[in-house]
Amino acid sequence: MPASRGASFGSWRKYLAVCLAAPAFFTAGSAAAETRSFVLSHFYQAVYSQDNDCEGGPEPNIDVRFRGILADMGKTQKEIDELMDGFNGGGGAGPVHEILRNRGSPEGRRVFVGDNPTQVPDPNIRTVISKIGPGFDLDGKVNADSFEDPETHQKGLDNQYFRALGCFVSHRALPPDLPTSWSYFWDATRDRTKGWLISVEGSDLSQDGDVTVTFARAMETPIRTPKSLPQRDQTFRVDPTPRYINVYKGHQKDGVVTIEPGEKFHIVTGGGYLPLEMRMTHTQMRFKLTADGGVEGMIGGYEPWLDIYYMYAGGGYGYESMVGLNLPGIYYAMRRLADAEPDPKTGQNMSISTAYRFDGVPALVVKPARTASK
Amino acid sequence: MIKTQKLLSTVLALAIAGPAVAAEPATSGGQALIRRVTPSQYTQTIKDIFGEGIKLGGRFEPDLRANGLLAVGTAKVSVTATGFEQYYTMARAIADQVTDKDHRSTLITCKPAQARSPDDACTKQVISQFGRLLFRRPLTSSELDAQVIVARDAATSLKDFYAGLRVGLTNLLISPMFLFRQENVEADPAHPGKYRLDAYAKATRLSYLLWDTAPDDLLLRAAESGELHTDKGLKNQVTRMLGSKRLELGVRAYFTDMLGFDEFKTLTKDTVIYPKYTNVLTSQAQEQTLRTIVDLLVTNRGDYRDIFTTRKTFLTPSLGILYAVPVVVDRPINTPELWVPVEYPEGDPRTGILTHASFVALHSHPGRSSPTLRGKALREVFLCQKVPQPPGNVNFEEVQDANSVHKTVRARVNAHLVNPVCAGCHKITDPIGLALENFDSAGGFRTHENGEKIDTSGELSGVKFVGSGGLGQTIHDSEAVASCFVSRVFSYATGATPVQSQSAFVKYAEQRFTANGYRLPDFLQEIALSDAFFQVDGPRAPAPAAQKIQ
Amino acid sequence: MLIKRTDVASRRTVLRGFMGGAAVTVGLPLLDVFLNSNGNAFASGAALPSCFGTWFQGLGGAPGLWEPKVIGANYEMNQQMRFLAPFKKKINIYSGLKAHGRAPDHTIGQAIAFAGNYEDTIPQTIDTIIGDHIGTKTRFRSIEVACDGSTDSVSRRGPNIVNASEPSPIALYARIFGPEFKDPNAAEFTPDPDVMVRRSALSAVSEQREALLRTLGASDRARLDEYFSSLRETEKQLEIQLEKPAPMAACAVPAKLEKEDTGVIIDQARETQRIFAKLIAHAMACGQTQVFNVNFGGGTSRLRTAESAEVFHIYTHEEATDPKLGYQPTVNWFQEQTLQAVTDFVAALDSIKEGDGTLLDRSLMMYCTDHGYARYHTSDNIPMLTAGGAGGRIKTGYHIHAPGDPMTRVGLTVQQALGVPVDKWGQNDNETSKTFTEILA
Repeated sequence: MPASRGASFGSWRKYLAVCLAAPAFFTAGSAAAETRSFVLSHFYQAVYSQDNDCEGGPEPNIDVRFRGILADMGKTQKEIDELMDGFNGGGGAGPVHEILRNRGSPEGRRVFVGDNPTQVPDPNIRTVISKIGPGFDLDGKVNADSFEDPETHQKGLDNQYFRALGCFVSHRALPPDLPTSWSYFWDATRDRTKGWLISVEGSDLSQDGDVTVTFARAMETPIRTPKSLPQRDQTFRVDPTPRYINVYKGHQKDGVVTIEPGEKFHIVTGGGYLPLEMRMTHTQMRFKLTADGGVEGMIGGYEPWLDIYYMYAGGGYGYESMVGLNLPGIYYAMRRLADAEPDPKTGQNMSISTAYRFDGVPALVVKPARTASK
Repeated sequence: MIKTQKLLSTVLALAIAGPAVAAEPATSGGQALIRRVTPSQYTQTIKDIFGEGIKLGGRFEPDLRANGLLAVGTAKVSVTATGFEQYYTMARAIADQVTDKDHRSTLITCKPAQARSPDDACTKQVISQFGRLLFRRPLTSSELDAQVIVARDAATSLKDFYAGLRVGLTNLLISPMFLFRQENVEADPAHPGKYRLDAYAKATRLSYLLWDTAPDDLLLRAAESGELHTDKGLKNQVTRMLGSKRLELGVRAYFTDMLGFDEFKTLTKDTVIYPKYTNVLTSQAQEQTLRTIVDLLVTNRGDYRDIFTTRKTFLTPSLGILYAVPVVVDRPINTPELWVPVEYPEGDPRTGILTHASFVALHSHPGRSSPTLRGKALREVFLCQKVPQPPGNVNFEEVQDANSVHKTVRARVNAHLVNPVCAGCHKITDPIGLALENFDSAGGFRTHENGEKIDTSGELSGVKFVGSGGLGQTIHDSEAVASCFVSRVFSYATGATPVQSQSAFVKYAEQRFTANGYRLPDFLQEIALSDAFFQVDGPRAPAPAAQKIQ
Repeated sequence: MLIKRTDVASRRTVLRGFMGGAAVTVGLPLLDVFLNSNGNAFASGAALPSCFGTWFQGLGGAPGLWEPKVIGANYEMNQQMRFLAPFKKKINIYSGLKAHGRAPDHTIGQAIAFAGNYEDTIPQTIDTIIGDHIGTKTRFRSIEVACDGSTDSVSRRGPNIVNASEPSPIALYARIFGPEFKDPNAAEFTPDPDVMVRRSALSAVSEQREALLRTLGASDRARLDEYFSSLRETEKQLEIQLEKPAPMAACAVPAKLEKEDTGVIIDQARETQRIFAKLIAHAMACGQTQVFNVNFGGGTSRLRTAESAEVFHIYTHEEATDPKLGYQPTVNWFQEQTLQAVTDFVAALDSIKEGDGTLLDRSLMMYCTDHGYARYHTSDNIPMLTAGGAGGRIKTGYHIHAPGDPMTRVGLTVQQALGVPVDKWGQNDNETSKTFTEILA
């Protein structure tokens, strides 16, 4: 909508009565004539769930899985029925939860299986076997594990994180739908999570050409519309902590912006299904500026899979009993599917390819005064 | 340029008026009225007498707007059964709190001899103390005795002194003497054969005009001592009141009334089209304008006409979103948003209060802007010109259809002007309103509509201009704007539209307003010290004796 | 209406006489002659009292499945609400409403709907606010029930002061209809001395009428006269309170309960709720209480089927959307079970006939849930519903759509309808002074 474009930050910063006399934050392309900024509305794992993409179907539900685990532990049917009678919605205490939470504990100790996933053998959770999926070609190769993009049909896409968790019902979705769990967490944390900002800067953003892309974290939390999406045109200050400001060289072609691959990406998250400090290497990003003035795209790269695993384990037993995940199963699957940064001693890959979708609305972005009041 | 002009006009005005103060012309007219206290007056009065912590626990029935002001309507409304029920409920809630264990030690200035029995002396002291402040005059002995008896009976029945006091206080709070400002009249010794308001009615007019609350103790004392009837005594009180922080309450109350902010209670916006218009904006839109006006007219003693052109305002993050203006302020989650002062650059379209959501959103349809409603409001509110209602049989389809071939509101209203029946009225409203088309129905800023650049040229009484800035300057410079304001403030102060015999005073006040650089505090002083403000024709006509009350 | 001066004086004298003496007991037989032609009010004008209650179940919403497509009166029920179609004329549906504030969780929706605020805990809830206004004279100030075998309750007298729910229908039966139950129509009546005092005190104001009016011109006199007529209306209300209340013609003691089967299986909860609904309806018809709270299965609901330990709450987090249906099928099934339970409750109130109307007509039940989209646990577009007309104070049959407005608008409207003197309600972004005037009669 051209209306809001007229009100972009560039022409507006002088209006601030509070002292924000410092130059614009985005200094990389100081000759740039145009900057457009966005606050993200959503950020979630890129998946593409279809029928038959998991061997034997998706992972069974909690009731079935828990009964299965209890049976594997040697419980009789009668014992299992009694224990599951006390399942109590997956919450709270009770013998069944005590047993399952601490399953495989060493003799005489009670250890949460999520913290020590190897205290049980690999449960061999189902993982995605499909050839179709979203992601980026991070290694420049087409191999057995790589995906083909469902729309562009680009091959060689790496997204082992999707393979690892994509058979859990809560992590399944067919775009444009969001996976149930991801949408819940992004939503649940939104009002206490600072805005995530993307800015694109170029000499003329209506033309193809070189741009500078910045992905940073704001000091403000988005204000919401009646439908709870971030409002357009809210003002955000960039969090000045340099560690969480990511600046990339990029290029716009046919309305699609891509960055030069290979850089790092790091940001502080609001928790949920993201490690509190997200660290990515070999970063790739692709987005388009949408007709309504927003942004829509995907970011991906390699992330340390233990960061991701311990984020899930840190969510606690509730992720097993209420969301239906299998923590040791995730551990073993990610260890098996990890596809980058082999440990020099063991050869075990320590990073896993990931991809996330995002969308956002226009925002006014300013550099914070150094003396920003608390 | 603008500054020079302003300075020049001030200097010129001073030169015309001259240093010598022209005398107030003798006029007649004016009425002693019975006016229902407004919700804000009731609320502020209770707060002043009993303290901030007292909760009203009730709601008010709607006021009536007459001749552009609710203040004029207060002399026409009564109390309905539902309204009385609410007053009664509030009165009981207030009396309960005042006499409860938490408050009695600070608010009740005497102690009963026995807590479980009546104590007439203490009751009398409390009832007369609060009665004087609530009735805005001392209670008559029969009024006082009646409530002492009520309190005594109740204390006896309920075996509780404070329960008795509670009932007595409740009666004060539901009394017509409190709920209505009744202006008593007396013969004017200075002008034999003429009448004036008595000193309490005078104190009351002053207090509600300047502070929007009942007279305080000092003002009542000045009335009691007769000081208020002397020039010096009046001047002392007016000076004191104008110097008080409470002047802001009075100014806010006046503009809240004049700008029709009561209509926000029923204002709705289609949030599918205007997601920026959220719940908080209803109050923030009003507050933005009131802050802007108070800052300009009271804090900085500025020129009234500058409210249409000022580049200064105050914004919250949500208003920043609405106007697409950067607003940075720290705000912990789940706390009210904070305000920051903002100054727009020269030439910015967002200057002046006409561009505030409190004007453009208030005078729009729920799903589309309306140059007609805006133009009409502008003429009626700021220029005191009456715009006729549309005839009943008009086909509005073309104007309302946002999907029509016409991309902009201007094109749609122009299509409608082809009809000569409509054109007559619309040409006096629409060309003004079209200058505000950069602001959508919710007050959001826009430069395009359906992809087409918005043309904001406009016209007011032959003067052509472009955009909200041009409109603001044109209103600022128009002759009608000051005279309208003067007569509005005078109506607000007296509770009635000036009659023919008062027109000489209104004209005089307008000259003084101009001479004083259109400064509101000076103008309020002018009114507060004038004879015309307190002048009444005579006592209210008594009821015909023959009328039998059955 | 104008009043006779001599009447005022004499009534005041009489009332004073009452107060000086012993309490007046009035033991009248129940005769139809005392009922007005509708049979729902005392001939003197005293209507049967209003009743109010809340009905809560978490995990309520799935956008697009419950909201009617049309705003106003001429709407059709959307699929999840179809069970309520027979009661369409007696309910209102509210869509688009939001619980503002901190991140969505299971408490905020119910906290904002029922208490207007949520910080670390839920403050006083609407049922106790309204109860303090309408229901202080009944045997039970309120009745709370939970249908999943727990004692969970949404009702709060203040922060952390929870009115715990009764989980057992047998126990509730014993509480209401056990040996301590007294036939309301046989009970003696003692006028409230406080009301007598207030009635007497008011006449001291109304006595000023003539003296005041005499000094006024015609138009002012008419205005002040209206004030005094309005005062007279309040006097009449107090006089009604000093009369023996209307007989409870529909009061009947339900058959004694012999067995119960409570638990989290949805069939158990549905049946338990049906029994509770009947007991509450009869308790209100017999004047034992005017306030109720039903907690069907809680926020993080443990309700489940007999076949699986997997519960309603887990399904919301885990179940994927069916791409063909566009929603979570099992979650939808639970949500529909909930709305059928709501319908059972409404039907129970409506089945008690009182004159031309029903118990539902003089009651107001406020249904709310905690999430607009259970799958995301969001706090916007949270389904709300009211059933019953609160004795003609609420117009029914409407779908009201107020996107982005705080849920507190329903609570404020309901409070005002039931006579609570409040002009705004809620805190911070949830504060509102806007009622739904279109349904306030």
